Order: sequence, then C-alpha cells, then structure tokens
Amino acid sequence: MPGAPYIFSPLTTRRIMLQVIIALLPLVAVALAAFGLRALVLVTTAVAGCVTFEYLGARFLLHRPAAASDLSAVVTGLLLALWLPAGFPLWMVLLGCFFAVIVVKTAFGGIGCNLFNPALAALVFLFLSFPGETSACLQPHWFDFFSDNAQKCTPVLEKLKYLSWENLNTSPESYNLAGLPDFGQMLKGTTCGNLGNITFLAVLPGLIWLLAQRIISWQIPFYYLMTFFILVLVHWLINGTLQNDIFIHFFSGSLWLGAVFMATDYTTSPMSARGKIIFASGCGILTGLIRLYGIYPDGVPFAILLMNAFVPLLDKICTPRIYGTPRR
Amino acid sequence: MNTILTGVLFFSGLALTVTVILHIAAQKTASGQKNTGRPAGTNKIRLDDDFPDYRPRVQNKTQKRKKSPSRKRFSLSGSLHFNSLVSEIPLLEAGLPEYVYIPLKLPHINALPRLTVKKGDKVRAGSLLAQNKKYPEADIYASVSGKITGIENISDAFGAEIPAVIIKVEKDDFEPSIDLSPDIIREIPYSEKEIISKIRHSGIFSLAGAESMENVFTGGQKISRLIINGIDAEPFPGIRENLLCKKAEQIIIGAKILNKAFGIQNALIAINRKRPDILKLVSGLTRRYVGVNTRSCPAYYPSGQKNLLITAITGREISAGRRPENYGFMVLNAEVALAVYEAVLKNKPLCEHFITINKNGKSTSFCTRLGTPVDFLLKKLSLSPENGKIILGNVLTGREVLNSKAPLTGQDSKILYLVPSEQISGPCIRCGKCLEACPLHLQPYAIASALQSHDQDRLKQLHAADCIECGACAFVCPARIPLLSLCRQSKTEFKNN
Ligand code: SF4
Ligand code: SF4
Repeated sequence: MPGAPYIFSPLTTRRIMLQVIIALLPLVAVALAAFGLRALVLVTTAVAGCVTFEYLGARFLLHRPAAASDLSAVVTGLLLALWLPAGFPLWMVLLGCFFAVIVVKTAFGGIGCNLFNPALAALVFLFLSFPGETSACLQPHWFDFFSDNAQKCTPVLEKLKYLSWENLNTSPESYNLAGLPDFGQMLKGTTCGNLGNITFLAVLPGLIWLLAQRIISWQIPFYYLMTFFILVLVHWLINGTLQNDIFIHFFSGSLWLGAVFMATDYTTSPMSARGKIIFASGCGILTGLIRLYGIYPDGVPFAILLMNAFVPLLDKICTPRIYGTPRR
Repeated sequence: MNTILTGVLFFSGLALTVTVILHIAAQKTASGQKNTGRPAGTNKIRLDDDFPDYRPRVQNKTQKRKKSPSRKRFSLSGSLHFNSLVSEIPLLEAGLPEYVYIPLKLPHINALPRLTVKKGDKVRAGSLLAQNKKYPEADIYASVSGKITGIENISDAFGAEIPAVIIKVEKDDFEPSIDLSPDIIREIPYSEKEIISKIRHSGIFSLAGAESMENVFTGGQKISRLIINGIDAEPFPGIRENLLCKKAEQIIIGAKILNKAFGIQNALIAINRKRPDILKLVSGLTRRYVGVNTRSCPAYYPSGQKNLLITAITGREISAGRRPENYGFMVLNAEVALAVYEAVLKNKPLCEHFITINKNGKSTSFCTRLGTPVDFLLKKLSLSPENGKIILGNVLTGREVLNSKAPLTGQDSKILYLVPSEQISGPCIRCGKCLEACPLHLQPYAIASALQSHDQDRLKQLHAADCIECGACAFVCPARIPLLSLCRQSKTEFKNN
C-alpha cells in the first residue's frame, strides 16, 4: 500500500552522516594543522579505503549497490583515521578499513545491522595486531605542513601507566619530572597523541553541532563523561597520586572523542533514553576501571566495544512504558 | 625527501579521486534503483524540502502542567511539534454542485436505515431520505433540494462500492421548519429529553468524532466531563481553529446544550496553546456562559486525538480497547458542537460540513453540502488531479483519492493537493527517532521487524494493536521506512488472527 505520510522530516540517513562529517571537520582541521602531510595522507587513505570497501561490499556481498551512497563509510574512515597516530603505515590503515567495513559491518548485513562500532572494532583489531605501530605517536609539529623531523613521543596516558614511582608525588615538580603536561598544554594541543586526541577542545564544536542539529541525544556524552569523572574523582580524592590525576585523565586521551562520536553511534547504542543512560554510564565506569586498574593506557575503545555487546540486551529491557498500560 | 613528498601527494590525490568517483557511482545506482533496502522498500512521495509552512521538531521536554492532579502524568515528551504559520484561513461557501451523492450506509454505524424515498421523488434539503425507527442515529437526510435521479451503488474515493442516493440539485432552499436566520439563539428552551431526541434525529452522527455521543446514547454511560476539541495541531491548519475564530459563540452554546443533555457541570473547550488570539476570543465569550470554560493545551501532533487530549487535560490515560466514555469523558470536535447547536436551536439536521483544502501549505476552508463530489471543490480552486495527488485526510495519515468524482462524507474534513516526489527507503539505522516520536511510546522499528517475521507473539508483546496510526514515526524515520503502513498492516494482521 503506497501511502502516508506525504511529507517527511528533512533528516535522512545521508543527511545525518553529512552532519556527523561536518562535526568531525574541526577535528580533521586540527589534525592537519598539527601533523601536516602525514595526517592528510592518513585521513584520505582511510576514507578512500572505507568507501572502496563499502562500495565493493554493497555491490558483491549485499547486492544492493545503493547502500554505499549514504556516506556512512566516510564517517567510519574519518573516525578510524582520527584514532591512529600520524605516520601509521598505510597498508595497515587499509587492512583496518577492510576489517571495519567488510568484517564488522557488511558481513553483519550492512548499516544498522552491526553489533560493534566498525571504526572501534577495526581500531582494536589494529591495536592487538600491531601494538608497536598503533602506539608510536608523534609530537605535534603545528603549522609545519611538510615537517620531516617529527619526534617520536609517548602519549600522556601511557606515561601515567608506566610511571616509576620513585621521587614522584603530586607536587608540580613531579609533573615536570615525569614529563606530564599541565592544563594549558592539554588545551593547546602540544601534548603527544593520535590525530584526533591531542586536544579535547577540537571535539567541542562537533559536540555542540550534533546536539544543536539533534543528531545525537545529550544523554550519552553527558553520562559517559560524568560517570567517568565521578569515578576517577573519587579514586583521586581517596588516594591522590600522579597516576590518577583527575585533570589529566579527564582531558587527555580519547575520552571526549569516544564519548561524543563513538558511543553515540546510532547502530551500536541503545534506542531508549533509559537504555542510553545505562549504556553511557557503563562506558564511563569501564573506561575508568581500565584506566585505573587495567593494562591498557586508554580504555575508551575497549569500554565502548564491551558496552556495544550489551546493546541488544538493553534494548530489550529498557523500553518505555506504553501509553495506557499500568505503571511499573 | 622531495620525491617522497611528491609520491605521497600523488597518492592522496589519487585516493581522493577514487572516493569521489565511487560516491558518484553509488549515488547513480541509488537513484536508478528504486526498491532497495529492507524492509521491502516502498517508494515514498514527499514534498520538496523547502516547504513553506512547517518546521517540525521533536520536543524533548516534559510538558508543564497547570493544575496538578494527584496522579502522575503521562509524559508527553517526544511528540511532533509543527510550528505551522497559523494565519487566518478564509471560510467560504462552496455553493451547490450539480449532483450530490449521499451514502446510505455510514461505515461506523452498524444499523441500516430503510429508504423513505424512491427514484424520481423531489426532496428538500433537510428532509429524510432513509430512516431507522429503532436507531435514529443511522438516519440519512438530504443535503440539497432537488430530484432523486437514482439510488445505486457508486464507487467511493478509494474505489470501494457503496450504495448511495443521487440527487440532482434544482433549488437552493431548505425545509420550512429550519431556521435560516443568522441570529444567534442564546436560550435553550428545551428539556433534557427533548434535546436528546433532537440530537438523535439530526443525522450528525455521520460527522467524524460524533461516535462518542452515539456510544453514550446506546451505552448509557455516565459522563462527568465534556471536552470540546478545538485543536488542529496538524502540519497544515484545519477547520477547528478556524471555526473557533468564526463561530465561537455557536460552539459555546452547543457545549451548553450538551451539558444540559448529559447533566454535565462543566465543559472544557480545548484550545491550541500557540493560538492566544483564539484563547482570548473564546474565553471572553465563555465568561457569559456558566459551565463552559476554556483550557489551553499543548499543541503537538497528534494532540487532536481524543485519548491524548484527555491525557493532556486530565492526566488520565485511556487503556487500549477502552473508550473515553468508560472513564466518564466525552470528547467532541468543535464541528460536532456546532452541528448540535444548529440541530437543537435551529432545527437544522446535518446538511453541511467543513472541508479544508490545502495546496502547498496554503489552506482554504469551505462549507459544503454533504455528498459534494471531490472534484467540485477542486475545480473551485482550479486544481486538477492530473498534475498532483489528491489526498483525503491528514498529510501524515491520509489516503490518496482514486476516484475524484466520489462524494465527501461527514468523515472527511481535509483535502490535500500535492505534487509527488520520490523517496527511497533504506535499511533501519537504529536511530531511535521513531521511538522518540511515537506519542504512545511504542517501538515502531520493532513492530516493523516483528511484522516481517510474522511473529504474532512479539507483536502482541509490543502492543502493536494499540497504535493510533498517527504517522509520526514514519514522518521522522531518516531511513524512510514506511512505518505507518507497516503498523497498519500489523493491526490488520491482528484482526485476522
Ligand atoms: S503510527 Fe503508531 S507506532 Fe507510529 S507513531 Fe503513531 S502511534 Fe506510534
Ligand atoms: S526512525 Fe527509522 S531508522 Fe530510526 S530506528 Fe526507527 S525505523 Fe529505524
């Protein structure tokens, strides 16, 4: 029965993806400014790889080539690139694209059917297969596009994890001694990191844009960041050391990138508001626990992937009360 | 170093080109191929993006309440708000068509009336055509004066066969007992019994939304609260707000008559919160009438729906399968209150009803005789069905008119004229927007997938049968999944099992 409705909200799948791409642009711009040509190559390779695999997958696996036109592969490519360090080997990027698009997304039936966030799953795959390359970060060389003497460095969170305890307390000298950035440096983006996480400030325009356009709901970023903040804060207040410094944890690493762009992925997050709150709180707690007790310096990808696995369950149990049925 | 840089630049340029080409290719296939995604892709018609008249947004706030009932209120969050530019809509007389077709069987009334006229008879507007002595609600009245040229099956707007009386219009007059003066009668000189019998013998049960009254007449429930629904809250303005602007006093008197008939202390006229002008006008008038009050209500789509209006006003929810009358509420549309006024105080059975025609966001209301063919009104606005689609009903739920010669009945109040454009549906991206939009907090995406797997138990668990078919879910779906059709299908599937 062809039929109603005859008008639609202007938002289509494609338009949503376009809005996410717009929200990612500040991050890409920061990455280009900080890492120059290396960032450009990485981003274009990842995007081109994802789009190519998406097209091939849609064409030969799903047999509906139109499925590749919704721009979601561009988002996946951008996100994947933003989580990788500058100078990451390109063939590994392509491998990651293949894993993200074909293994994680298309094999499950295309957009909307995947259980795990494609970019994150690919990232973890790369991380487990090539731990050396994924953590070989470069010091940002701001506004020096063709710089060829970028220095290798260790990301802040990694420093925290493997800090040796001698002579270190929470005094400012210890921060210098341990090579930890202060708040100003974290804002300016002169700390060591991947393309997308040298400064959390770059995430903010995207966050505001996505909220203003009503693409994402506020619950996920808010509860994610809040539960993480409270958990680490409590831990810090009970036993404050360098290693659980609340400011470093809250403003460095991929926490903001994950909370705004990864945890809010439609397909791999719950649909109801209550489900979203539980999901996001779980992400926050898991991230905190992994950072404080686990062996991985930045727990965000693992935390979100773990919570992804809970989404079908959350969708089942967290349904709103239907009109006219008794109150629970 | 330079060679490396050149190589790298060349590579990234190549990669970019590949991206662009692939995207263009993918899009080409997308537009060339129509039925693509799951669920079994249906194409959709849509207006152009830059539609002048509405800006939808999904509200996220819980509605504020004025007087707090002790019960917790159902949150009206996540309903559609159409900020339509409500302007004064003209209300015109449609005039007399050449022929009118009056259906003999009303779809929602089970009783069948017996014909009192035959072919060749002359009738006057307001005289009986068919009568059911035991069940006068089913009576049929002539809406025009003229000669009966046939009593036969005609095809209705959607192609179904219905029996109808065909009257060739000859004169513009009414039964002599009908008071045609424009003066407003403010006194109600009749007793309860007389009022009820006048209402029952007036043919107003063919109007949409009059079923409540019919149920009370037959079921005899005690009504404690009367709500006159004056809210359109639809993407395109409708007739109720227009009538409240132009015939407010008659509607108030109609409410008073109903108060008296059913022994109700207080009637409320629900008014769109976004129309303070109407509120001012009507509440100024109600001050003169004891027992009729106004209440401004949140105007979201679909707050014109009876059950949701009751919830917005009183906080009570109507369980699925029960009627507002079971809870002591009666909701009647403003048109019905007006018809009650005319029937009781002017002796005028239902001959006319109101139709709003909307073309590209511009509306015109017509007062037309019952049984006027659709194309008579279309011609008035020089619209031709060839170029666009004619939709009978609301823009979110209406159905396409297949036979534009078919008559309009009391159930119809809106005609839309649209120029169609293609919509491609894709797979569900699990965005949860349909969930947010559903006024009943159903899960349309889950209903759709349960329907595809024919999972009756799951459909039951999801309360698919409660759906009020408002179309909000299908409106917001970014993947353009025909959720409304699927919800309707699942309801029929229920009925069949
Ligand atoms: S059509 Fe049914 S399922 Fe869809 S929003 Fe309306 S009530 Fe909910
Ligand atoms: S609105 Fe459409 S795409 Fe979004 S969850 Fe509902 S059915 Fe899926």
